Amino acid sequence: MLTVDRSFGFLDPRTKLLLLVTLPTFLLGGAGGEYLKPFCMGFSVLPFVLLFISRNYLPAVSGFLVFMLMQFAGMIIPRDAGGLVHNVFLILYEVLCLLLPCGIMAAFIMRTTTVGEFIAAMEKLKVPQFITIPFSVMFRFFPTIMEEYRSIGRAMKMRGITPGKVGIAGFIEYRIVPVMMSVVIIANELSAAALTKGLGGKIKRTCIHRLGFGFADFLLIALCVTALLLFVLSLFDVRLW
Amino acid sequence: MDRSKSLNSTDLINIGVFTAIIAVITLIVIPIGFLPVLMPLYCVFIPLFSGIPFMLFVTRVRKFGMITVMSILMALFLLCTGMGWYTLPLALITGFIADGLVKAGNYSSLKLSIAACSVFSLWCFGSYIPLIFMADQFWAENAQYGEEFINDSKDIFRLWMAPALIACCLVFGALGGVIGGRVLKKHFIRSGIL
Repeated sequence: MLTVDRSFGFLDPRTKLLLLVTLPTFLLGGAGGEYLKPFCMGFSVLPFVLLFISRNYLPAVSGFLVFMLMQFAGMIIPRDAGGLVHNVFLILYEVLCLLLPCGIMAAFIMRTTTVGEFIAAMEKLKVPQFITIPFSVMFRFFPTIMEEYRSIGRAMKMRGITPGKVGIAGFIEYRIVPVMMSVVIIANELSAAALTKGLGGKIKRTCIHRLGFGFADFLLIALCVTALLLFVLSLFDVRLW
Repeated sequence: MDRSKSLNSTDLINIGVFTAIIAVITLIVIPIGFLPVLMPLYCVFIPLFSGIPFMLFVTRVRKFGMITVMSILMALFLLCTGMGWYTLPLALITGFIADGLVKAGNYSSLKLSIAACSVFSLWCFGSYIPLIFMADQFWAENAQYGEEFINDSKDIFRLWMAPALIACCLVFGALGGVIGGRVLKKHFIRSGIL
């Protein structure tokens, strides 16, 4: 588990949003392919760097070591070898060097950004409210849903409800229905809370968070924008190398 | 209850909550794609499992536009998970149609809600668009998956797969809707949560 201190939200939420879109585009979506490989490598390492800066030394260093190990293994195992070893390597590479950084990035962003900051940033970007509010609720709800799901799983286990006993369809029903019930109740409470905070009113809201770009923000935005620009140019067959 | 036509914050929070549930279901289903043979099954499992939350969501829809916003959010969510932007235009259209269907039933018809569920499920098809229609370019960019994976995938995603997958989305979306409707009747209405 990451234990990121809230005060280490040293990046502007807008930068984080850009990272949240850019990282998966290049790592999971594989934009650019071989041509933009250097950028991909950079993006794979970036989450570990951020973890390091926010004083999560152990996960940062171990993650970086795993990444280097995989790169090293990629050099030893020939690309066109085929066979079992190569396939296992590819799956491992996929999970550890592409999926894991994206997951860590998302978790990092979710831990370091408060809902208030997020909404403030979106309002500065002039995103309409009907996108901002559901999106922030979504991010707030991922951990809640997982937590509810786990608790209900434990309760079901205690009562001895297993797929063998009630059938697979029944099992899914036993799992999903209680989660939905509690989630609906939480949603109602959340609406009441939002109402008291004046969300969705017609008057423009004021905001206590002071947002501004720092040096790190400019650096990361420049990196992302360059990568995206190169990718778009490469679509029109304009290549620098 | 606010009777105005535009979406208020309660509606928007409802949208967010149910979109989050469907997004979690999607995240649980996605790992089966490690085997290319199983990849078309997204179109079976995601509509089927998201039927229950979607039907519960529809009971809380009283205004035009809520399903459209939900579809847009799903597309943005896919963008954040690296599936590309192709879902966005598709989701706009399907969300709009689904909204129209629910509205036609005056927000209380079970049959039209099931139809809406089936149309809404078409967003699943969005992530296949590059796989089927731009296969060569897509796989050139994703060379890291390895030859075997790519060849397997190319074998599966031929052009005839597109209508098959769309039909799959529609059928299993409807089935999910039917199951969702039953579960609704069995649990949520009886326990007075609606």
